[in-house]
Amino acid sequence: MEIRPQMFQPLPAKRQAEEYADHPSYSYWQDVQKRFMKHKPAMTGLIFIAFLVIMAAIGPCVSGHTYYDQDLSMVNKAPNSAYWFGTDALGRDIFTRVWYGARISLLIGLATSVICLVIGVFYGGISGYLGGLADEILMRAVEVLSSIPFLLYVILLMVLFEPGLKAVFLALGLVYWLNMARIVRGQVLSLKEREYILAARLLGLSKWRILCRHLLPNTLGPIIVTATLLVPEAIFTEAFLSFLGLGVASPQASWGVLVSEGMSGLRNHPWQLFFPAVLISLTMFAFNFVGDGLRDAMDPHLRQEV
Amino acid sequence: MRYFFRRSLTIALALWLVVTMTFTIMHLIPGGPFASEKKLPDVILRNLEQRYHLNDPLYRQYGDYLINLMRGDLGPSFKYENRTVNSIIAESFPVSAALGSLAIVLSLSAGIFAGTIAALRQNRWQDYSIMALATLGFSVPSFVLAGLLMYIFAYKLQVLPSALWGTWQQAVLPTLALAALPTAYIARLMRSSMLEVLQQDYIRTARAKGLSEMYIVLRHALPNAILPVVTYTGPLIAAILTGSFVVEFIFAVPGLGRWFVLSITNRDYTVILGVTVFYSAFLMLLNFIVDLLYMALDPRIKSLDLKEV
Repeated sequence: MEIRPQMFQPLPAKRQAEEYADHPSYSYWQDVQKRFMKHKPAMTGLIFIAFLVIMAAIGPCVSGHTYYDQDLSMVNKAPNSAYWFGTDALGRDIFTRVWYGARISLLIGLATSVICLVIGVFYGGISGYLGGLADEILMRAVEVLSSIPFLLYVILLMVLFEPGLKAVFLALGLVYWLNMARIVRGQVLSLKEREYILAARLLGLSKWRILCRHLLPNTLGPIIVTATLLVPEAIFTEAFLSFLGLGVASPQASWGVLVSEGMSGLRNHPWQLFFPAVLISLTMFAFNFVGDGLRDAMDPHLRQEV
Repeated sequence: MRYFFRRSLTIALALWLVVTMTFTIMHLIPGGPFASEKKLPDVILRNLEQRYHLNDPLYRQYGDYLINLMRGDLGPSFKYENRTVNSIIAESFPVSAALGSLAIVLSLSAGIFAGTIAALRQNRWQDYSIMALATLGFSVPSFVLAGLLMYIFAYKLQVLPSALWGTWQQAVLPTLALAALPTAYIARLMRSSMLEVLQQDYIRTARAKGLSEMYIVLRHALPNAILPVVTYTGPLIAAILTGSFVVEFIFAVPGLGRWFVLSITNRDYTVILGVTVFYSAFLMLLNFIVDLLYMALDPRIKSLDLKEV
């Protein structure tokens, strides 16, 4: 074969252009965001939650009544122009109370979720990263604790503490971190064998730094999903406790308190149950949808139908 | 066998923890069991405390309680004279068990059926309506559902009684309220596992053999698809049990759940303590049995330890 100098000419610019990808590249989080936006139920849920937060912020102020003011001349009124959602057995405005309840319930959901996040992430992270005997002991403890029916425990703790918000946070936080710890441990366990962790160790980083800087950030996906799904669960449990008379103390009102109050007047004043009940249900819907959407968006391979 | 041994140990440890924690919590509560009533003369109060050994040192009370517990004696009730925790449990637990079993049977059968239908008719209207219903059942708390059912059927239509226990009509509403959430969960679980099983090669083989669709589903798909539902049985029983607190309370069913709630409001220590211990032991034992059953059913799982990782 004859070798000619023309063979070594650069290709025309047109051919080079073909090798470029024709759309921009996305980072992982941009990708997650895109997939999440396409998930219709999740977006609907997110919009509803946004609406809920706004109403919880301004709702208690717009009707001109307070959540604790009793007006015994206006007892058990059906929804009307002065009381948009009617009044309860003590003549309190249900519209105001419902949105005030939203504040309390959302606060409980978020705070519980954050408490569990902190405890669970560190417990699970340390257990998974240290491995060996420490892991064995820490996880046995979780196993023993989680074989105890947890709701009984929340109830007992609530009997012990003075009723009120702090007690609810504490009781729920003390109980719900177990699952989070398990998930984080599983993630850390599978990540710590990766090459980049080996590299980090070779560079002489401390264990703590490796855990906080390199392991935990990469377990963020499942952690966020679990934390999101914890919110409705906490709201649900608090409503359940309040319903049994163990939650937030009167005149403060969470949705559980409102439902419980509404239940007693059910026969003649159904609207007292209707509004808080609908709000709880819609909130559960919304958070569950958002959680599902996040899971699908963050981990398209692990997509589950349930 | 090693697994069996370790699980028994875990359960024993957990039970001891339950008893100790419950005991501690109960004795940390401010105000004794007789504090809430109108002020009693000191002599009577002392007599009462004497009778129930409340002025013994705590470690003695704890020791006595443990020893009695071993004998299966949960102690007397503080609120109701001449009643023991054992007699309360013996009287009311059968009611709860009956209601609970009804709810479990209903949720298993309805959930498995609905989930299977949804999987077989994937992405058609049957699937969508079943899944919409399941999502609804998943999101509506049991006490809300109980209120709704009561309002519609007892007050508006007046076809079913709203309270108490004894006739079959009285069982309908509490059973429905109790079964809704687990039914929804089982339906979703069943649908996804059925969808997965239906894609397996052996189902294609069965189809290729020319078996009828009915036979394939019942004989080949269902036994495999049902396994996740079996694992859910433990949490299912727990959910039914805790649900029963509220549902029995609303429908005034004289079961153990209602007693538990009442004894919390009454601060009836020994009853709270006894029922908690009883429930915990009951649930842990059932969970254990379910796990063993699952291992027997699914030879692919030799030890459930594998699932933790």
